[in-house]
Amino acid sequence: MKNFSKIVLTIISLIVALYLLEDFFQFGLKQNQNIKMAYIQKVPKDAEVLVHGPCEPLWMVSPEEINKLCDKSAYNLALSHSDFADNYIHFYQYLKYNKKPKLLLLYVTPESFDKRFNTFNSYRFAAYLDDSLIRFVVKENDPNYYQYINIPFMRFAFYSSNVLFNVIQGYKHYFTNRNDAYYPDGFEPPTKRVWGNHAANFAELYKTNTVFKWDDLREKYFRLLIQLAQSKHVQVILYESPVHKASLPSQVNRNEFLKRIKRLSNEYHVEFFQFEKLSIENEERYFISTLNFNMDGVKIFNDTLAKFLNTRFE
Amino acid sequence: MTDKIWNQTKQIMIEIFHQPQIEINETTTANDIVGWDSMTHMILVARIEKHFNIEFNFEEASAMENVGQMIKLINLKVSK
Amino acid sequence: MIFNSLQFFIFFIVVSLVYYFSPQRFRKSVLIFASVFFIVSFSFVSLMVVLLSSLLNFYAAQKSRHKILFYTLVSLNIFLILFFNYFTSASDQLQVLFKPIGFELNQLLLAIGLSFYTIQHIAYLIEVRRGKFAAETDFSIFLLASFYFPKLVCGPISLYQEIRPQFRFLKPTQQNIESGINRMLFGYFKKIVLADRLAPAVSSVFDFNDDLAGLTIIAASLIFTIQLYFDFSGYCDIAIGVSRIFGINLIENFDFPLRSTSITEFWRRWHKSLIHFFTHYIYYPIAFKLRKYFLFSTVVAIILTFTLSSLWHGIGITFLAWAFCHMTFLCVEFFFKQYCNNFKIKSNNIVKGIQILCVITLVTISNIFFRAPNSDSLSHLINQLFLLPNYIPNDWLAEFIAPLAQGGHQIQLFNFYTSLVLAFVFILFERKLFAKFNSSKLNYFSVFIILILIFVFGVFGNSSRFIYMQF
Repeated sequence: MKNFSKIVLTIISLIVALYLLEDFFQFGLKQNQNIKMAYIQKVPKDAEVLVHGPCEPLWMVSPEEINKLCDKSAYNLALSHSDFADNYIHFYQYLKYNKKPKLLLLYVTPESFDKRFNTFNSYRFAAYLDDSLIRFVVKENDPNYYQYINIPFMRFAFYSSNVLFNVIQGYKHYFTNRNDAYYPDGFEPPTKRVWGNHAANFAELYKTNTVFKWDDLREKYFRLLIQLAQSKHVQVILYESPVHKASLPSQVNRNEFLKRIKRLSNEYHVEFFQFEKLSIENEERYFISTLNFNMDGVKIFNDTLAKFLNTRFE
Repeated sequence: MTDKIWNQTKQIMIEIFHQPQIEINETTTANDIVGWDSMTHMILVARIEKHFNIEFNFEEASAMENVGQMIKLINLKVSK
Repeated sequence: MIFNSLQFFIFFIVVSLVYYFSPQRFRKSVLIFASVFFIVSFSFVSLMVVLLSSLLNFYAAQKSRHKILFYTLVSLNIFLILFFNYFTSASDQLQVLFKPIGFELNQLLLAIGLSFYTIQHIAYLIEVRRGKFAAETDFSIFLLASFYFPKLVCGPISLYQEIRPQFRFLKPTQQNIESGINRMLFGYFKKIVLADRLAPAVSSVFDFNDDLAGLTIIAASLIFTIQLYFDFSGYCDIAIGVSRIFGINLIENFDFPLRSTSITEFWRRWHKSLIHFFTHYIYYPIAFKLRKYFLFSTVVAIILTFTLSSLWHGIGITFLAWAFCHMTFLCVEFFFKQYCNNFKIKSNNIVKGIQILCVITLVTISNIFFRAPNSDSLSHLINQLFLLPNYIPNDWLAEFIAPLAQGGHQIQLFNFYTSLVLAFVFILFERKLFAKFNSSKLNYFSVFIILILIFVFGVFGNSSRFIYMQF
């Protein structure tokens, strides 16, 4: 009997400890100013122009430049390797805690609709699973993770390598009363990267013929994103920044995808603007990958983008 | 006769295992002697065969990791 | 159903409860049904293969006097292993490319555990033929000994005469249960926290074709050596722990191999059950046949034994190269001991420490070959190692830390350093921790702490497979 009570006590202590850890992690993550989900809640931006998408807009569109050249406040909500579902939740969170923007500038390219490029980063939403919409999106995009989230603390433990550090950093921000993110306007300049992230292997994806494969889940969340914006009367402009010309021939069905994106955008009466036939797209010296510019390229692109936006503000 | 066999076997072991201070008795096994492992075991068997002019079969050779059994076997073969 | 999955956890709880509440005479059947369910969770074909293999070996042992049948079955068993390994390694190149963590070979599903139970069958046939014990007359026991689920996937490989009596009693005591839980927790910690945290660093270097500094490759191989130890020994701890809960004792497969002071000693402490098989059924017969050639017999026996061992692990130049390394190390050590006894140094802690470091270095070098996913990758890595100007990184962060940590950002460095610290601290206190978690008394506070550590530091996503499962 003594052993039985010890077992019961251990199990209860474990469950209590896990719930406490869960609260501890949740609080820490929500204090981390460098995490956009937390930052847009804690330090509302109320921007007029909201830039969104994966790493291309993150590293290429400067709100400071938009402010300077278009006289509009802007915030860059983009996040690296994020797909439309990831973008959707961030936009939903932004609207919850910020004044709705006048314009949502969303980056779209054929890669956006192919499952092999970008992903749904479930760990970004681990601290927000109390929200039923976020929970539903997580369930649909990462069912393997979803089956564990009812076990105490598992929602954080499952992706601990993406979460633990951020929790500690969050507490650091909390105890030092930090007021702002490292990149307050959300834009991350494409400074020289420390490590190539297996660049050689990823370059293989483009060397041989690349055939894009349309993913229906990506399309679903693309639609939801636009519908959410339009339901709040937010103007939406889709754009594709210049693509390095030399990489185009190996992408077998790029045009087919672009046509399909165009058809989708027409369905919602939304403009899809391609920044193409610019001299910059021929010059390798401005690119760090087929889709991303270096700082020199960014400067040129932001000028072009600003000029374009000035003609489009309603 | 048996004492002679004990001493001679001990000498062979000292030579093969390079251990000048070996002590063996009925219950000594390969685990008790430094240098006596699977790699030196069959060499030991071959040297004993050569020295006493006897021959073991494989089962006997494998069982010789116990010194007591080893000496008994040598005795048996030598007295034949 | 791999050990570190929710499905296995539920499966284990259900099987244990049914086991305990069953009368003793039904417990064997419970284990049989559980094992069938376990195998089928991988693939139905795996079940067919183990059934067929067990039937053939069972029958052949009954007719062990029949020379041709005996040799046919032994050859068939060997052929099975080689065939399965050939088939596995041929698809290696396709499987390995963009994996976040280590090995995830789908073709394993074809015959899970084959390499392990086939070795057991070969040993069984040989012992029956030698007359060591009578052939098994109860097929259900023979089958259970072959596919008993805790040891099916990665061993420890049991000797039939050791495991058979265990299936007769099946009456675990309270000490069995407590020590079983202890051991399981220990194994889960090693696998989920230590091994799986180190896996990305290893995969980052070995599974991609980046140009790397030589020292980075060595570092990755060292991390792999430690990861492999935690992964494999952790798996065996879980297998031993689960079995204790059923009142069955499986043999130990590891004896702190990373504390070996020679390669010879290393092979007495690493994957003991496999080494036992190779020593008694391959090495000894060869060394015995050639014993008149004294030292030469040892060399030939080592070469043949390790060549066969490399084939057991897989068909490929990488495994042969790994075996070649160990053959060389063992022969050099052997001749050194034979001829250089004048150079004996008095053993103290410092000498012992240096010896341990030397052994770890040699094993690390051999593991570059073992871990390389295919021959192309191996040539690429060797090229990098011999590009001497690039041997030492110019930029330590970009060329050494970042490839191992999978990036140079704070979060990646934090994860990487945490993994190293956890591994280092564990290795330092391993003997004490093992004594604590091998005891037959459950310390509930320790259980609480280890579970919290597993939750906080463990790797749960990606469902990483055990490395030795591919064999």
